[in-house]
Amino acid sequence: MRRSESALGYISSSSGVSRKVDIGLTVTMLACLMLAVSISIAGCAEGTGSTVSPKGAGEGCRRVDVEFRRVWAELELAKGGGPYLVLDLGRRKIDLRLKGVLVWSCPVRYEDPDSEVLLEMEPYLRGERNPPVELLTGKHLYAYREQFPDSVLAVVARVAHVKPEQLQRYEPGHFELRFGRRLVIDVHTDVEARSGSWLRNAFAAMRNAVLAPITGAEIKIGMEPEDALTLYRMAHPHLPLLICATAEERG
Amino acid sequence: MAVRIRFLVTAAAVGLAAWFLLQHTARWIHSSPTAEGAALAAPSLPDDEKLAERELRKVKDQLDALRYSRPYIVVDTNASLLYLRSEDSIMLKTPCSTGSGGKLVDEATGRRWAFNTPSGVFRVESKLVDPWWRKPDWAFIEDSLGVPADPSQRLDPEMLGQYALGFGDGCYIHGTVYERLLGVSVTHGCIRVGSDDLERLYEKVGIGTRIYIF
Repeated sequence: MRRSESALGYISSSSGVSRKVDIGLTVTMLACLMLAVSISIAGCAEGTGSTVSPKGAGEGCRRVDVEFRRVWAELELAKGGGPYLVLDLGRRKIDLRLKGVLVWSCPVRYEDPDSEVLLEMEPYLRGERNPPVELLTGKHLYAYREQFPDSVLAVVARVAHVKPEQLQRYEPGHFELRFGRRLVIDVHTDVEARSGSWLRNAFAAMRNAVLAPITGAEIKIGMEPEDALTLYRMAHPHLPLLICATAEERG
Repeated sequence: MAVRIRFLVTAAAVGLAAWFLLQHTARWIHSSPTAEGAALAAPSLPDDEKLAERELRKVKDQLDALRYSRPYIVVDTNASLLYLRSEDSIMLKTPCSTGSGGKLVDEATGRRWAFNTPSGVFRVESKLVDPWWRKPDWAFIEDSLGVPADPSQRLDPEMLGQYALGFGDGCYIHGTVYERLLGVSVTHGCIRVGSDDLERLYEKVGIGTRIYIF
């Protein structure tokens, strides 16, 4: 009977298994089962976290509560002094506001049917999230087009005493913005763009595929290239995004 | 055979544990607010609908009070565009040039400059006609020229165009002899605008007009 060492002990070539291997496998199996049971118990005990059902009976109270949360959140963001985005799903636009003042606005078009978009965003629109705000956690540029020819920038860079790459702007053809742990906004333009690094794009796609069961909402929108350039470049980490669906003029 | 069975059972147990862990993680991700988000959470409203609507009106009024009713200037450094606008309309939209982001170091003295346009909220502090540019030291150092001792050698009557609007710490919205470069971020921090649009801007804004730069 030949024996060879393993991490658990000797494994023989016969049908029998050494005592050490037997114990090791049994312990591992029991540990995994106990871990699975304890995690599921902990998960049930946690409940649904910070989602809060609006108080009061009736649709009227719920509507007021949802609106109140949106306005309160925007007021706090405006008082904070920094820029913040407002995604208005009703008016189909994204605004950038600074201290409550509108500084940039762009219309968006849904790449998916309206019903799918609203379904994806329902937790925010029904007041299940308090506040209806997510913070930017990352972005990725899949495809782009150089705004200026390299030959032009080479001349301009010499005159301006800067590097040509500092002057170049990349008009996005396709990019994504990730907000919080749950929201991905996928943006497309009609720019004739070339793909970025295939390795980075593959990694981004793989990450999205792995996180798909976890991500709460993903919406696809289209916009003009000039607006996409601004949105992509201004999107810095922790930029707040307020989500709403207004149907009336404000004020 | 027994080993294989035990191995399969162990693998299944590990898979089950991983599945439960994933579900728990998903539940955590969907439920737990971030610290910043939690700070924006609204307080509870009264149960009475009329009282709730009163509270809603109060916060709406506070938010509306932050709106600026007069026209203001917006500079989008990302797309190199300048606007004169209000909340509801855009009166002027024109390409501009903003700071290049370049850096300069004077090797002789170790002084450093970073050529960025500041971002934030400012106000028009001065309005100038036919401004002359008093070249700072970096304008000479950048071209490997000596910094002149005679102040009159710093003056350039053409570079800034016909008008200039001053704001912030020595920044200006002004004209340029390089109108073909509008839309490219090539400046040393100031904001350059074409002569025709600059004239319209100069006529429409006053001292105190807000400037939002992002």
